[in-house]
Amino acid sequence: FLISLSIRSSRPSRRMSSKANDAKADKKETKEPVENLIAEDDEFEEFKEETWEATQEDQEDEGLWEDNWDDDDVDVQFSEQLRKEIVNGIFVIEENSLLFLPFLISEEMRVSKACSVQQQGGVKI
Amino acid sequence: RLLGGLRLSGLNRVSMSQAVGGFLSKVQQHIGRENGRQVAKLLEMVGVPSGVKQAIRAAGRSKGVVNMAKRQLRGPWGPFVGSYLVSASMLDANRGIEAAEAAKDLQKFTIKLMDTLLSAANNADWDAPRPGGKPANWYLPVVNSAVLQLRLSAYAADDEKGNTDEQREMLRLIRELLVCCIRKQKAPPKQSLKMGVVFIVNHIFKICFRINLLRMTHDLQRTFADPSIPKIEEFPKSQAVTYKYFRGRIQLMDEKYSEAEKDLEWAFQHCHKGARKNKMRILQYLIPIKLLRSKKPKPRLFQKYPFPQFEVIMKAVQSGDLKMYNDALMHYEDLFVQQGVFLVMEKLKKFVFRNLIKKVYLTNASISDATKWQIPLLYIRFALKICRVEVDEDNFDEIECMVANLIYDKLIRGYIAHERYLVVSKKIPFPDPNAAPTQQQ
Repeated sequence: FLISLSIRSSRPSRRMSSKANDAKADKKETKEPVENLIAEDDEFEEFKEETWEATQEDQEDEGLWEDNWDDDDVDVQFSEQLRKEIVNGIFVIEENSLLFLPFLISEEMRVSKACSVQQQGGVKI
Repeated sequence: RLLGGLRLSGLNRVSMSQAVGGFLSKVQQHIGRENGRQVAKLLEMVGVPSGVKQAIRAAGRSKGVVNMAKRQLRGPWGPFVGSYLVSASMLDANRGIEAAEAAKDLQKFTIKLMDTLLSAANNADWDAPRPGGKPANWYLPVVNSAVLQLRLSAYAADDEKGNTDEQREMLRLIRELLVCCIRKQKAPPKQSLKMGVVFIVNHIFKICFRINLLRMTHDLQRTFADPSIPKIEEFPKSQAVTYKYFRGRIQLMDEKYSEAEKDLEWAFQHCHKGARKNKMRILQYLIPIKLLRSKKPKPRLFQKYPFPQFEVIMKAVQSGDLKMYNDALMHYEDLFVQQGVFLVMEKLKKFVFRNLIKKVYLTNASISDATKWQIPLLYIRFALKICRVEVDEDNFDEIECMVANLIYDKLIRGYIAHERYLVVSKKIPFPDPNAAPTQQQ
């Protein structure tokens, strides 16, 4: 069985999106620059010439897109932050292999937590 | 230069009518030589000295130019040029409603002109080459000038009145001209009026998009189902690029992303390099589609063509930063909605989440290689917290829901162990988004 304990205090449930208030405040502050991007007359213009040769076209514009933008390099900063969260948050005991992640609570606390979970008979993550 | 050095010193009535007369002679000369482009340029006042232009505008506003044109120009050309110059002069004087009135006459005389010249072409002997060497449809540039004048007059009139009545009426009138062009003709296609369909449809598209009346754009495209009409690429570049820009936008609205990408890419590549604003307009629709199809614009694209709104969304997608993405989407919501790309940008959300989970997977793998296929849902919750996204602490419902959608969309290969893990495939846990079926829409 797996046990995972969170020693973090529980918070009230919230929606998984940016807080509406924050975003609105954001919007008000930075509204001006966005308005500049909205052109009043945004109609496709009549061309000056009826037709032109390929030399009058931007040749370099052909190779402007990258096919694969999967970064297989680990985002170091993110990885460190996530490890920290994991380390601070939980330990995991697997039945056959003991996987102890080092963390910062005392041995005593750890043992007592493990006992209380066992007593509850639950396998809660 | 076009008027052979005619000068105007002071605006007295005799010189004015001389100036207009001289102008009309030049027009007649070019008509006689079947120089369509030159006639069009004259009518649009390209290269016309300002004194002469003033005289014409005055004659246009007083409508005196109509009789002058009828006297000097032969057949249907007289009333055509007369009504054109009246409409143009009214437009120039910001008298939109009168410009539109004159434009309606112009439309009638355009039909008359096309009928006359078309009859002549149909009655001609097509075994012999045309005298003068010009194609039978030499006057199409002039028709384009007329349709442009119709469109701009409608804009001005409706701006004055504050509604879209004239533009709707003009749509009907311009469609009549389109019908003229696709009639059966004796001339071979490239010399026929069928070479006028693209620019006429482009003008119609412009009005449709301006007044947001898009339902007729689909049957307009059916015009090109006619096998006797050459392929778009065989029309002059300015017309083909414009057409593909609009068709690309229509396909985008229909969620036909693959076709939209083709058209917009063609338009972008073949757009004249000096027409920078048009290039930007094409990119405005091409970039969102490319992002949706997991093709990243290289940095030099944004250096050359700045689009801060797309750049930040792209960064958010790449780094799987859900908060940056949500914030950017909210910040630019008005802009995206106004441009009609909001839905596309919203569809990128799943890629943000997919990339975030991939980062969790990689971190997990670095902690414990043996169990890297099992990603605790808790770790995903931690990752969202790092992104400063608020997340339910009581259960994993929201996370499981988003993960389930990614699995359904084939962006992740795996299954969910309820409230415990995302278990991913050992072969290709994160398939290339390009290969995913959702891209094949």
